[in-house]
Amino acid sequence: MTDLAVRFEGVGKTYPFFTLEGIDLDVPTGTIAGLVGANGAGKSTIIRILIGLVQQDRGNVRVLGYDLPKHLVAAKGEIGFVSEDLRLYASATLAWHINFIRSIFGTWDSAYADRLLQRFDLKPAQKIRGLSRGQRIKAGLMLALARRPRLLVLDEPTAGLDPIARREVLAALTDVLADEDRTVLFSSQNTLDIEQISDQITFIDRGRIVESADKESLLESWRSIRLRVPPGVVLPTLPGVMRDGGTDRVPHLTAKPFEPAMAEAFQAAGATVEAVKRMTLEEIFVAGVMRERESTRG
Amino acid sequence: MSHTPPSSIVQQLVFKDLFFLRWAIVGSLPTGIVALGLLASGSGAGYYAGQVLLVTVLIALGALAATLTVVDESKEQTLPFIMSLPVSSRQFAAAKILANALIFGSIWTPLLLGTLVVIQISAHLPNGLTAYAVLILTEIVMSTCLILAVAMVTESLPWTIGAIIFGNLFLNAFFYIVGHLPSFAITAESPTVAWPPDAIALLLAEIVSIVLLLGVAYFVSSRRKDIV
Repeated sequence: MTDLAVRFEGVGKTYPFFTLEGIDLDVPTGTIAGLVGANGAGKSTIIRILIGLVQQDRGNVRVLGYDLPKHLVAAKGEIGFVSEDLRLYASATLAWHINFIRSIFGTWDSAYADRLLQRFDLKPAQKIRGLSRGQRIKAGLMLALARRPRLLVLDEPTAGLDPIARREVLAALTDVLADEDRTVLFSSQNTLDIEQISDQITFIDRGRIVESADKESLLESWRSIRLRVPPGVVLPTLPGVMRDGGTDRVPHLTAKPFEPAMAEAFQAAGATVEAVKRMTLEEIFVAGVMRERESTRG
Repeated sequence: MSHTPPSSIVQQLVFKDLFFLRWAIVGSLPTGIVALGLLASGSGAGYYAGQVLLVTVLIALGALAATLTVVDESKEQTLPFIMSLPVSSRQFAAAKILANALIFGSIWTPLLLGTLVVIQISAHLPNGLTAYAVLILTEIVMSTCLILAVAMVTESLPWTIGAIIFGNLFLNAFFYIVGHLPSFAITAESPTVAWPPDAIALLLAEIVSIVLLLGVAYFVSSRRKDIV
């Protein structure tokens, strides 16, 4: 059996205007898992449950072998957390924060912290209020990484950053994750960020998981198909194929799971297959969400 | 486990709050000493000014400590940073109460002792005022505990400001209550320290209120399931 860093089983949380429902999520140890969803989809709620900032109303959560919320303190001792809405103390310096975290974590790696400070171009003497948004994210990352957590949880770390800062943060993150054997859970509404970093991807919409798979099989299983349909030709109804645009004469379809036999079936019916293309993660996300919403309505 | 034991994190959280309030603590002590000097000055105006300054310093420090250590942590969104550390809600609540007790106590205790010394050594202040000075200064502790309890339970600035205003109004009412204790007219002017039964009853009521307020603050705060 695969060693799991995170396991959610039937997890739910009810707020007055939002419900997280039936979340089943497994993240194997050593994976970089990406959570993708629009604003308010439930990504942050999942992450807050995972680090104990909120408690689930239903279901079981197990993180790094600890049941939550029962063994929350022990679990948090091995989780590093960085979030767009997590703030450091504005009036204190980065050096003060380093000393504070070092006093709590026996696992603090000073040599690694120094390397990260250099890599992220951060000055320990600088006060937090003097840092740019990108620098604050990097400072949070440095504080989280240098304690050597077994699980790193990043909630929208690139949200609100300008393109340059976003690129810098992602590049820095890619660098530090490349040579580390740790599990990472990374949430974003930006599919490009997720595609760049993650090797397991989970789509969330309206408090539910729409799809969860490893990146390669996810990208492999979806295709967009463009057909040309002569008048009078009736297309066969194939499982997993949905129309998501185009016209009656030139329909655009999405297929999941895609089988080469699908194209043959359309051709056999008299249509011309003009293109079968791999989809970007963003296209897959939109198609997956729209399918889920339609099936929920139906 | 690789991280430090839970007792250590409470200590670190307390040190953190002491660090952020260090200037308030450092600033309060000389102001309090000035207040004691005015009390000892011997003039009527000096006594009144000293009394007002002493009360103001203590109320301001208690309100500032509760606001900065509890409400601001929530308002400035540093709470998720702290609660992502290996700390339980119980430890967090205990750390907040301990930090506020140390911040306030570090000024209140010397000022209480200083007030008692001033009463003892000043010829113009009868020793009979001792019990009433203790009652008033303990009421300020009670008021501070009320502010802290409201801050910890609500984490709301408007509610905390409401508690500060209520505490101030109640303090003025308390001055009136103490001034009208049946024993006050007899013992306040006495050359010896005396603890009449109604003053003891009032002091016990204050102590019970302090324990209850801190108990409620700890109970509610340590059972909070959702931090954000």
